[in-house]
Amino acid sequence: MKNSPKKNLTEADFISIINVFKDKLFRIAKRLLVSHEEAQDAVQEVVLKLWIQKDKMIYYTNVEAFAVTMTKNYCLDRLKSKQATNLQLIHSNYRDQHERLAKKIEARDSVSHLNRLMEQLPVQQKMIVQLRDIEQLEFAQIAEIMSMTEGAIRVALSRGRTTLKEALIKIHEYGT
Amino acid sequence: MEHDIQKLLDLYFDGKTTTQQEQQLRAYFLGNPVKENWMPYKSLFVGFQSSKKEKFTQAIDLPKKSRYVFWWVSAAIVATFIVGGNLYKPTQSYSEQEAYASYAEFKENVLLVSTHLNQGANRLAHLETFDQTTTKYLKKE
Repeated sequence: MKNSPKKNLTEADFISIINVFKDKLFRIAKRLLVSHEEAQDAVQEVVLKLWIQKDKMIYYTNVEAFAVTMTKNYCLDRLKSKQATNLQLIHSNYRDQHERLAKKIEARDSVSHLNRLMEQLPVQQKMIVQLRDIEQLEFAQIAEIMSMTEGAIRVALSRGRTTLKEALIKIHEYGT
Repeated sequence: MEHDIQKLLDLYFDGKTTTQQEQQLRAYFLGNPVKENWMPYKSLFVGFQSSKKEKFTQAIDLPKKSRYVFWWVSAAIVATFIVGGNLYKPTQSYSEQEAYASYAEFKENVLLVSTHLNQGANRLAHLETFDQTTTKYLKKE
């Protein structure tokens, strides 16, 4: 162990790398998992995984894209296991009770509108809209993260944006 | 101006805008009062913009020296066994005799397994001879 050519990535170095994109990971996790706490847990989990393999991290050309992909996969796994145990139902009931009031209060706020509308999108579209319109990543990066072609990304993006647009027009026409 | 923006909007909803064009749209809808029927678009871009402001506020939680924890734990377990074993020696009791008996039994079983294993290993020697002879014949061909 003494003689291995270990790169000295200290804890401080690691944290400063993570700090660059931790908010992004959190927003993506929250977009998929909805719950604030679960999104926080997801980020901690992904960061821990990166920490364990930090010596390999130097060889990744794009740590950020790698971390985003890990977060996406982690959250999708969480969603799958939640569906399997029916936890999602219980969870959304819980959220309903607690957030209904908050939602009424912020009903006119475009952020909460948009968050609610984005919740209705299929996971893939949700993810792509998040990466492109909120995180403002390049198509090449999104294609890498989603393991899709750029063409397919643009098609899904178009569908997602159009759904959001139509819903917002409806809200605007019929009032909040 | 509005005509250009309308063109960009059409491209945008077709998923065909470039990063630069999207930047243009964002700047327009975030920075200008817009006509009534464009209000939904304004909420869209304002919503995206505000979503981007959300931050991860927790401290990042890293295990301290995770690499060495395993070794310390295993060292502690081994130490416990050694110390424990030494402490129990002086007082030979019935349960200890019983332990010796089961140890002997265990040893016998292990020996039995070992002889069988060795027999198996000896058989492997035949394989080597087989291998040599086959290569001999194969080379001849």
